[in-house]
Amino acid sequence: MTLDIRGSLTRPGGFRLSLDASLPDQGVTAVIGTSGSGKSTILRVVAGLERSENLSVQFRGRDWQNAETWIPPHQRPIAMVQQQPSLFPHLTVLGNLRAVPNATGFDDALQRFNLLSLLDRKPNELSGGQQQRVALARAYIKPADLWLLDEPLSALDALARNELAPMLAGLCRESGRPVLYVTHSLQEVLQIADHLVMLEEGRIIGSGTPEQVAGELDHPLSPLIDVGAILDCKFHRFDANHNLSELRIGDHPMWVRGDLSSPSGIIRIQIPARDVTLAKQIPEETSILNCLPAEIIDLKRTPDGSVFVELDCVGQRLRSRITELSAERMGLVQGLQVYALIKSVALDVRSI
Amino acid sequence: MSDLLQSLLLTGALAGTTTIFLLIIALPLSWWLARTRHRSSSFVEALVALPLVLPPTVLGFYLLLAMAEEGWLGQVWGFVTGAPLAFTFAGLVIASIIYSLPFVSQPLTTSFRNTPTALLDAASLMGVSPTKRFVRLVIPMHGRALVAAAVLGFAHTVGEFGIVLMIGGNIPGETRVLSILLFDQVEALDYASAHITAGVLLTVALVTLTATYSTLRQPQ
Repeated sequence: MTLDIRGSLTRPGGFRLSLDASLPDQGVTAVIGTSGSGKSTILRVVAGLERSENLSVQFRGRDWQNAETWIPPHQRPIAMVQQQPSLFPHLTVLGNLRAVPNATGFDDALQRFNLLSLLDRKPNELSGGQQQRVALARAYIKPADLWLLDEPLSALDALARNELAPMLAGLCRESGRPVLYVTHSLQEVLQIADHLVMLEEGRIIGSGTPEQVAGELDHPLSPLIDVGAILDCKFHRFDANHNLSELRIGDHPMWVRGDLSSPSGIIRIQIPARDVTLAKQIPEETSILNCLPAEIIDLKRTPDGSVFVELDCVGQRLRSRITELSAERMGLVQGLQVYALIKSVALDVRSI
Repeated sequence: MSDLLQSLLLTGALAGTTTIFLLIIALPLSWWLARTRHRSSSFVEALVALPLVLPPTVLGFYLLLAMAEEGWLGQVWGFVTGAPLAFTFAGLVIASIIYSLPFVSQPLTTSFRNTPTALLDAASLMGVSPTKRFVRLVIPMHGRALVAAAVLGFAHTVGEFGIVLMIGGNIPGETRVLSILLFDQVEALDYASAHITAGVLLTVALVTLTATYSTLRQPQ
């Protein structure tokens, strides 16, 4: 049982979307790609906002569209949140939510998205973040078997994004419904994605679990998004005096800003390859807090003069991007024991 | 009942009835015109706009022919209701609808064309069918344009003269609206009564328009 999208769609500008994909119908599937890669178009196709005779969409064995069938968007069991909140300007927050037919979980949505104090306001009296919260609530109360999120955070300022990201993450995990989450930012979905799909110029160029994709260095998208490495760490303690959390990789400490205590105790962090420096000895008196012993597994040269150094760090993969000159000077070879220096600030962490 | 009061009530009834029918016709028509890419839409739009450029007498002439007892419209009407159409209130309403349609349809079409596609998509994604979307979300969203269109339709019907003269004639209580009454009074050199009739028309028009514009000026 999956979500199958097959066929092609051509746009006047010459853009062509060509797909033959079976996406899992459970968990969070993140569709990642640069702008113009066609990632939003995929969601619009699934939602029924794009129509082409050459495209077929099938969800859990039911045809939503193909050459003969067409289920209009309002009859598809989907809920969608787009980049822009698209609230009705003449209606209050309450009015906008009431406009959803057969709504369920109304009170729960008001609580969850913190809307109780905003019910009588018109959209133009709300901030961007508040508007998007209403849009999330509107999607939340619509009966749906599939969630479609189209860059729901990208139009927001950093403050609003930080406020909404945990709400969104909680929603994705708790809804129990499959989620298709389109974004250009890996960071945004790293903590919640069970499955990643990479898109480029209208074609899927790779997919897999976050760990799998991060491991593929030759990936066409890896220079763009600098996947680096994804590490699972254990939460150890929070040092309130310094506002730092101590995580553990094996027995080695990792310091990360902020209180990251979470119910599961497991924190997934992303380390871009450019933020990992290598040293042969533990440097003394450095500002860098995190220093992990690692063994070089592989060295890969890129045409632009960089070297990606693949490291084994207490059983987990880490990747460093350095210049070819540095690699030569240090005499880096496979099997060499080194120390990976990681800038704390470069750790992309979202505690949920 | 004085001539003036009778004509005033008749004018109000004509303009009110016409406006109601106009809205019923113009709302879906304007939505179609605003949204369609069909080739015929330009022709339909031109057809609707004809009364803007044609002298009312041209329209009145054709309508008179159609509404006459042997005219196609008169025959259909006679077949359905058993009554004649020319020189009746019903005939006036039909003529007024055609004559005032562009004044209602054009502001609505313009406003409808500015509906963000994203909002229509959002409604579909909420599970709202296209018909409910139009009635419950689109029309209220264009409330101002709707008020403006209704007032223009009403006011334009109150002010029509040529077409009424052509197909309505001058029957007290049936077709003698204020503009005709004024014409009569001036022809009869009864300037005292004409002053009152003209003053009433002027006042009604001014008050209606002022009230409308101040409503539209308030933030939505």
